Amino acid sequence: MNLIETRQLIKEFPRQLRSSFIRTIIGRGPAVTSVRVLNGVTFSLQAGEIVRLRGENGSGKSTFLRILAGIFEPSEGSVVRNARIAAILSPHSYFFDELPLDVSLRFACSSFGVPKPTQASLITEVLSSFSEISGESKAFFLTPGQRTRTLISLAAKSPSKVLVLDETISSLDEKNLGEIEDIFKRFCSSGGAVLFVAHNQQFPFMTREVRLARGLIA
Amino acid sequence: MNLNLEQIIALGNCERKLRDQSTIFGFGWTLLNPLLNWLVLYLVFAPWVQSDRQSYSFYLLIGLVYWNAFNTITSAVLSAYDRRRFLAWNVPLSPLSLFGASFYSVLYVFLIENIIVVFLLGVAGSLHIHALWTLPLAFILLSLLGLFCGMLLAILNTFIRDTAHLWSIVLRLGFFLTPVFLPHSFLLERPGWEILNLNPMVGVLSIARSISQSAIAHPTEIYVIPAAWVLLLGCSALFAVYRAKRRLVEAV
Repeated sequence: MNLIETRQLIKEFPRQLRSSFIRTIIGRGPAVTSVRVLNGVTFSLQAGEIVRLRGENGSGKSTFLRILAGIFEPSEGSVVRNARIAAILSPHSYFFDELPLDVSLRFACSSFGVPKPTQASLITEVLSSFSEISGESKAFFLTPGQRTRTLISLAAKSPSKVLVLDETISSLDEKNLGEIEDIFKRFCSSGGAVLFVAHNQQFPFMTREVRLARGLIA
Repeated sequence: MNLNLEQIIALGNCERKLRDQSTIFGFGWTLLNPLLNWLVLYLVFAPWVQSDRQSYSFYLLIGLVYWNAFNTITSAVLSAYDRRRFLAWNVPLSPLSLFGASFYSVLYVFLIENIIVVFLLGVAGSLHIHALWTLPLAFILLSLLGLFCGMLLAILNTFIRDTAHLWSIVLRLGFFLTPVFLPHSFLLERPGWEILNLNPMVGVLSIARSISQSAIAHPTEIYVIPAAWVLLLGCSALFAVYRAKRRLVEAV
């Protein structure tokens, strides 16, 4: 079954922001020129797949992921989401550095669709793998790698069936990458799917690779 | 993106804790600040106002609490996208969730301040117990007024960056053109100044002040004008969010 499916996805960004605002609100106004980032992307993600999305800088990977996650809306074309998506586009955005870690993780849990009664136990379970960090520690003390691993662990145990990751696992060391591989495999064996963006590294656990060039699947 | 109530509350809690810095003093200062403003204005204006000191003290206190709440709610919601642009860019959140979280994060202070006002009126023997029902009404009207006004301004601010600065000027002017510390009769009963009665805050303040025994009787317009503003701003804000939601995140 396709968990996500896109057809002829086109995304354009307006160049003149203020003019586009008037046009957006009242439906008419000065002409607005735009930049086309995606040029008709047709893509599907099936249960059990771990797909790597590649492409040069500026090829539209992040825009594509943001459309899948529901942050951007496509200018044309369609997106069909048959499962809940957990998007980790920048791990830092889920963390409030000055606050205790569990406050940030509760926000992440809510964003991934974890029901409130199970959030506390899930956070405790995920944090138990870090000997030096507890829920009361300030989020500031978590390294980028720990942030990524924590969020992926939470997302994989959430009701979401699709993980969408934007260059979040590229910075992990071999040990952490091994753990992430285990998490991905368990997640996919229970009917989930992963779509991740990474540049040069080799990822033997991926099942398919898709290349995006000039706003099109190459 | 659907509205996710748990996400709104979780984000609202983060914002609230960041604002209070998770300290008792930080939270205390949030409550103490309006009281200090009240003290200064009371010392300056009480000798000048021709009414008894106790009546004016509660008139001023309710005026400041409600004006500060309007100021805080609109400013928090207005800057919701600006402060959380990184979040809006990377986490699936509907615009209403961001506005809702900012609104939720400041609402509790206003609620506590209302409880303190009722307590102080009760201790001073000035509480008009039969009019107590008007306070929740004033609370709801002001909260919705602040939320909807903030939402419209937030959308405008996303595209026109000067909106926040212009709004702070409007708030300063509004402070002097609303009977917050100036007596109602001084401001609104002058020939030609009756138009200020269309200011929704005039009605909200009058409704809130009904709980004081010294409050004067008001015509029914005091309910109609703020309610009409809430309806008008609410419809406009929801329409604007519906039309602009596609562009909001891209604009930040």
